[in-house]
Amino acid sequence: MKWWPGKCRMGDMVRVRVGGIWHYGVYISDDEVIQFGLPPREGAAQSPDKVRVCQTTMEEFSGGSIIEVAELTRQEARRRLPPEKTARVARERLGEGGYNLLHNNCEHFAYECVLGEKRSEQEEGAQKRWRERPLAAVYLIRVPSALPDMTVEPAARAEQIMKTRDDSLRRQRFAAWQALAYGAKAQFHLPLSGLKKRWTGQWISDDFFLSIAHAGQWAAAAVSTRPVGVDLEPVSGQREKPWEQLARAMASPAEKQAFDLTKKEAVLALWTRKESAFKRGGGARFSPARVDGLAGGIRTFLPEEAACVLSLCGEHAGSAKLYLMRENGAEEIHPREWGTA
Amino acid sequence: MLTRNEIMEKLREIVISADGGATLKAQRMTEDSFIMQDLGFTSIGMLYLAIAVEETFSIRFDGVGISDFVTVGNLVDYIAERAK
Repeated sequence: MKWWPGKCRMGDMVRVRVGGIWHYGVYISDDEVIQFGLPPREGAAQSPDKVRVCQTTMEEFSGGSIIEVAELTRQEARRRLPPEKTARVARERLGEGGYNLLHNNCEHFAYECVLGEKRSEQEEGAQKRWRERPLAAVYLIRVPSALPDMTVEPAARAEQIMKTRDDSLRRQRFAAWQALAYGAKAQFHLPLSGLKKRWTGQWISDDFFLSIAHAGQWAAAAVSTRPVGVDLEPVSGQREKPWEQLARAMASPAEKQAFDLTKKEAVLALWTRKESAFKRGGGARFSPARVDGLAGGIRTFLPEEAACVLSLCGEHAGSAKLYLMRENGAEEIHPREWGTA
Repeated sequence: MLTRNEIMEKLREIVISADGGATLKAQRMTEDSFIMQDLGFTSIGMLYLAIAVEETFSIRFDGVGISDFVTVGNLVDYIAERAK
């Protein structure tokens, strides 16, 4: 819907600006505007338990400010309550209490009377801002030497892990999931039971963004309020790989300039940067040569505790916190970052 | 039960997120800080604060308005009674 200062008709939703917030009501006539609580002007503050649905006049409602009236979209106009019913419903609720700033406020009341649904765009806007706040956290965990007796959720993931034939890979997957469970609870107060698997095999949540990685003795999980990708590679303990050939296959001319690809650590840095960027993008097939390892939003770390190279890609990578999982929780770490002294 | 220090630390993170990642206000914040004047929360910002506090501490503001909390200490008192 849109809002305009204009002529009001019976059953219209109206609002007035009070400081930084809108106060809503239902217009019936110039002498009758029904609202849930008084406009929160100075001197009119009410304790929520005393707030009631009450009647006022347009003059009182406006308090000298301009009143805006809702212009419903075609869809909203089709599904709204008939104006006479809106007026009746609003009047029937006079004296009602139960005010709650977030969950049952003047906007919820007006929406319900006009559109039959309880909504507050102001609250939704604040919710959206909270859900998209800058947050990214990476949890690094050592892969256990044997699988402990712990529940993994959702059940489909538990089954996937238990069906992994290779013992080392099974333990790596378990560890990554354990780190993810910890991160989801610590940052979002959520269990993993709601996670779903995409057709690409990637696990996703409706409430936050996630990425996992595991290699050798270490696993990592990243959680964020925006799409995120994490990757890690152990620096030591690997069978020797043809690093220079790998580097040549994946590096662009600019990347060859930026990284000393004769050094294994540099190749791992570039590789993990590319893979973390790919994971962030959520694609199905990873083609390293097609991913820009020098793109913004990627950070690469060298945590001494884990002897690995770890890269994180995402909008909030810049303010990301890194944690090392320990027996009794997680400790924030500040590893050396690639490209810094 | 969370200690007052633990509550303050989590509130600092909320203040940082509300301020777009800037840390100065959060660093200067004490229990005597005024939520609106010192931390710069506008009335719409108080909605954000209420949502953030409810979700961070798994509590609900029932029977109180966010404007009932003048100082950070008022908010800590409320959270300390309810958060586990």
